[in-house]
Amino acid sequence: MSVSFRKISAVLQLKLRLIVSNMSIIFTPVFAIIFVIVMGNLMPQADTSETAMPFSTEGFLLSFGLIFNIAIAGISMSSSPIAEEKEKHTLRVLMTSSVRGPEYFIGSMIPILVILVATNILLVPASGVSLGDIPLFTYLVITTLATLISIVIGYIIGVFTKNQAQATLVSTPILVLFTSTPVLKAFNETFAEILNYTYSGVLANMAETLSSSTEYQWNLTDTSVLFAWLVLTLGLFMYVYKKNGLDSE
Amino acid sequence: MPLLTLEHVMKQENDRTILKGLTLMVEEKSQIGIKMTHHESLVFFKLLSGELAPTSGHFKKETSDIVMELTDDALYEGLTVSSYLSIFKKLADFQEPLERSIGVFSLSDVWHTKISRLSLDQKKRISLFRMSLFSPRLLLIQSPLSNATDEGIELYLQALNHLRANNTAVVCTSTFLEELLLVSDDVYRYNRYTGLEQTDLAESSTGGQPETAEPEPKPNRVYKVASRMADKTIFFSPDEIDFIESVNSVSTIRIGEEHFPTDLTMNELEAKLTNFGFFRCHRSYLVNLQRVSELVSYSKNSYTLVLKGNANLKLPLSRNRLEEMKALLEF
Repeated sequence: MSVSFRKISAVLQLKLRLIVSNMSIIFTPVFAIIFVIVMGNLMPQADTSETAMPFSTEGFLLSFGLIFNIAIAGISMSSSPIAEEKEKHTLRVLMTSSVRGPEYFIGSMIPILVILVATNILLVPASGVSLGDIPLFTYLVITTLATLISIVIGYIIGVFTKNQAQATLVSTPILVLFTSTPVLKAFNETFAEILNYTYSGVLANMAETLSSSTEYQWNLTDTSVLFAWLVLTLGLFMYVYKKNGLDSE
Repeated sequence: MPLLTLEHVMKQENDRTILKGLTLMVEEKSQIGIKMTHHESLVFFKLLSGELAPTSGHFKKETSDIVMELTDDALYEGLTVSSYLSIFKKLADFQEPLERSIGVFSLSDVWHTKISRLSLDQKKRISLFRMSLFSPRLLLIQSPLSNATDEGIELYLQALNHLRANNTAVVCTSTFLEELLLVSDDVYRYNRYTGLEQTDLAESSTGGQPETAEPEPKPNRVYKVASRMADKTIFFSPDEIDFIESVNSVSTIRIGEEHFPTDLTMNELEAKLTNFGFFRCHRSYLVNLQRVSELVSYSKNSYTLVLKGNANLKLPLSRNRLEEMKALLEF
């Protein structure tokens, strides 16, 4: 199926104007940064080199901020607009105006991805980790892949549900699971082992390593986990999209 | 060449017939109105746009430049009129400047206003403007004038005429006949038992047109039954009417599933309509004999008339009127 760059650009333009007209959509990424700064000032300084400390403050804050931004903001920013457009019957107008599903998804994804990636970068200094001390390329690749996974999960929810209330209902348990990752990893070894195979677990591991003196090393498990999640979510998305269509009403 | 041709098209959903007996030809620049329910209209539009395939019948489409608008389609309320339309201009790859058509759609004074602040009339014209950007050969519009004000209707019709001048055919559907009469040249009524029936919009005259000019030509035996609804008076040709019933002493015209009250009494209507093939089958019913398909006798003294295309609709026939009807129908 061929896609038209003109139409993708038109959808992108539409989404940008909608974001400008209603800034509440960027509330979650902004809140992630504020949350990390406030928590950083409230939490006592801890370091993994100290005896019996399971995590460092910076690592915890960065992993929490990343998961907040990538999981909560990523999923809600991609699922909610689709559900809202379905509910308000604006999506059908786009579909009957010759916009195809892939053009809509790509055009909608670009502004969300840019906002989330920018927030991922800003979270590093916000959590107290120096930007110069981290392997920026590795950090960007891993966080961007995880962001893409979240956006695709959001799309699955958006395509599957019929309105915003349903989208919130379906996404809440998923968000709770992903956002608890750093806490569960820190306090329960069994959970920590299982969560290593989630994309949020990979993020938490990376954040923790970045804040410590050791440099993050690419490893087969993390890479495989991220790609497996991307392939699985994309596959599931394709299945749900083919089954339901974009606006199945 | 017609844009669309439908011959005996039928559409089922979940083994339930939604549309049947659709025979229609949509020519270029034509303006067609079809009275049907919201769901029937939805399925009909999806058939015409190619979103759904007919269950049976012949459907030929000469164009794919079809744009449709459904009643619950909405606009992006947070955008201004100009930004909304410029996005759709880009989608449609429309080359001319939008400003050139603002006047046609009467949107000049709200061009930079947020859509959420506009009236329903203005929003309807924005939708029409948006659709026109795609230079469609056929527009499908559901209830174009519902809830519109008189001024809004006037401006909408003006914009619609502009589209028509650009060779766009328009098919509108509505549950209200009055609305269709305003936007269409040809009006059809969909009957779920018999299919599409064209409504005669011309003045009926059983005497035919005089061949030579008379000094003061007067139509012969022209009669329409009037029904006053709100500030409008609707006229029905006798051949449109299925039957007239008296409900709480009010004579009510029945056309398909619709009811239209009239000020005339049953006796007055009987006197006027007998010449047009109507028969007082019961004290409370005056039936159009052309619509009668069956006479059923459930018992010795009980007779019922079944109307064409609607087996569920049964009118009582008084026993003492049976002979009179037999004489009329010669059976």
